Amino acid sequence: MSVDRRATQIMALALLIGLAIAGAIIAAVGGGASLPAAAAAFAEGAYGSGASWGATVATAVPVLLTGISASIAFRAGVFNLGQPGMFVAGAVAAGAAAPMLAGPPVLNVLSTLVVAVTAGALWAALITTLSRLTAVDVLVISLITNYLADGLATLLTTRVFRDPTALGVIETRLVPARLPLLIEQSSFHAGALLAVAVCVLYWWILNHTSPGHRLRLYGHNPDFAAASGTPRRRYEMHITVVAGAVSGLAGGIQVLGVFLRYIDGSIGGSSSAAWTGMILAILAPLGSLLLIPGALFLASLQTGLLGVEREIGVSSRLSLVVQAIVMIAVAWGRGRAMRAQRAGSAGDGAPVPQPQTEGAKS
Amino acid sequence: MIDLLTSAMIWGRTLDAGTSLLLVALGGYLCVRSGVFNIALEGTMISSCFAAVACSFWAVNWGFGVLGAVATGVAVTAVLAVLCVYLQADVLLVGLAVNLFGLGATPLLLQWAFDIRGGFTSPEVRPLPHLDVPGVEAVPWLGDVVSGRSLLTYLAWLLTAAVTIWLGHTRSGMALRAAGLREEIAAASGVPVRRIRATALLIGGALMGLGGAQLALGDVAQFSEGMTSGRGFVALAMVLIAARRVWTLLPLSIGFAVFDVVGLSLQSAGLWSELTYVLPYAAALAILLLARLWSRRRLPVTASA
Repeated sequence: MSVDRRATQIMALALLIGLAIAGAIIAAVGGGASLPAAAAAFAEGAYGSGASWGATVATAVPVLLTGISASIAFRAGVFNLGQPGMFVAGAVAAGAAAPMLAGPPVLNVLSTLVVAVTAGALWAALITTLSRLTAVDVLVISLITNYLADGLATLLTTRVFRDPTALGVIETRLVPARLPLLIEQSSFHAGALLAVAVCVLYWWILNHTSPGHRLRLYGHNPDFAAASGTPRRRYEMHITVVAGAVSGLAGGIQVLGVFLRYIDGSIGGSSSAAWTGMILAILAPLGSLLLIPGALFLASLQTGLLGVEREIGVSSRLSLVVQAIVMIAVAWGRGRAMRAQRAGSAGDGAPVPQPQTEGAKS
Repeated sequence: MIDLLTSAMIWGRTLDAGTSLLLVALGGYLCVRSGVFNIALEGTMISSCFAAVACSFWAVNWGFGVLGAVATGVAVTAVLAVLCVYLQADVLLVGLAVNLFGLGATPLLLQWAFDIRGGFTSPEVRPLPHLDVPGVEAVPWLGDVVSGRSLLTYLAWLLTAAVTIWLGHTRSGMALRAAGLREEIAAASGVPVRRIRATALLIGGALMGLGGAQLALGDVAQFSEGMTSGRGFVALAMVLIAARRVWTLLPLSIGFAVFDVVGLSLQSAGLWSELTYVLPYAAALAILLLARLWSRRRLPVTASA
């Protein structure tokens, strides 16, 4: 537990460093005098009004869900970074399926979400299968499949599912029914409740049921788990499929709650919410309810910097830079904590549940 | 379609397109072989692309562009070396962070330095020179393919040979492989593991910088956001399939590059232009599968080697 507390301290410090660097960059681009205005614009963009709260929450929803997805995989020691691809798969499937599925609004939304979840799960299964057939680390395969998913999404949207009336923009037809808005005139939609429910469910399964126990056991020591009756290959496939389903759900919610159609390029790419979700899974202690405030915080970083972009004109890509700096600081802090733990326990610590780590020894 | 595949222009451009992959993969290979699983190839590459264009523009000289790209590559991997080799931070996390940093910081730098978004090009960004090979250039088809490639293409071929010889036939090359293979044994037999890894990272960074320079200045001298589009990750996959045979990076890079170039020419062949976004990655995965089948067939040989 001492490691956890230290990790929290390091994270707080890392965030301060990240914000300081962000301030420095804003000052460099917009001039030092723009800093107070930038801070005001940040607060306004993230928390200033009902609308900006709505935007922050709507941004947090896919971050939280893809974060849960990444967290499930990391928990099992599967370093699958394919969340952006699964996210896109879910979104395209939802955008394509929703206009075709008939039925009353509630049924339409539910069946579209099922399609999105299935698409995400299938994409995840594809990643694992490819990684096995090629015998290349799932980490590398999943990074390549993210680009493949973006490409396929563009191809399918342009050639098959494109709305014939849309000019210029490549997008699918408007969905017939959307996730209801919880606050009128904002983007606070019902997907937020769904995401929180999934997070609570994940926490409960992880900490209070035997499948959760098995997941934690497998992550800590796959050899032991295998010896006690968890078939390795099949279990890793199951875990990845579940993770893919959650990311696919994120894509479906994004289409049904925010864009109301799949718009090409809105989900994937380097500014994908799934990258932020992955960072969330790495930063927040894996699998706890802290994922919810963490997602809100990372989302407010984005909406706040969008506010800064509107006022000062500094690109909101800054949020990627801040997150990267925080991640580096956390990676360093974890290395220190692990060394301290190892020095304390005299001898080899538990193997780190990640592929290809260095056998850190001084 | 057939005349597309037999045209010397396509194959010549393929060799140039393969160069950036080859150089980045060589750099990554050194890191992985020394025991640092560096996944930051993409981030290092895009940073050096930017540096290449910026330096080439400011100095109005391609040499400075290449120099700037190499310096940036070394600087990025120096951060990795300090953090992961000496401070023992988690390599995967730092690598992922460097990738995101590269993809996020280059648009900011573009805005800050050139006050422009999306991409930058100017007549003052000098591209790499293309060299004619005396003797070969006169040969009918081959001359058009092999001769007239960018300077870095020829350099990359030489560097592949150099790295193969270095790793296979020199003391320091063996020490590097030992550091990656069995760290404890290498350390016990007097190999300075950390220094070797740091050196491998820095040399690897220089190679990745060259790869970035080739991508940015090799053909049309320009920088655009996310222009590496996953090439760093494809290079990483190449490193993993090459396993112990570093020279295989050369044919692999050409194999991957074919689809990059052919994909761009599909439009003129009357096919869907969107295939450009799918083909390189689908082909990359297909080549990975084929390479696996190939190495499985040869497994008894490599296992005893």
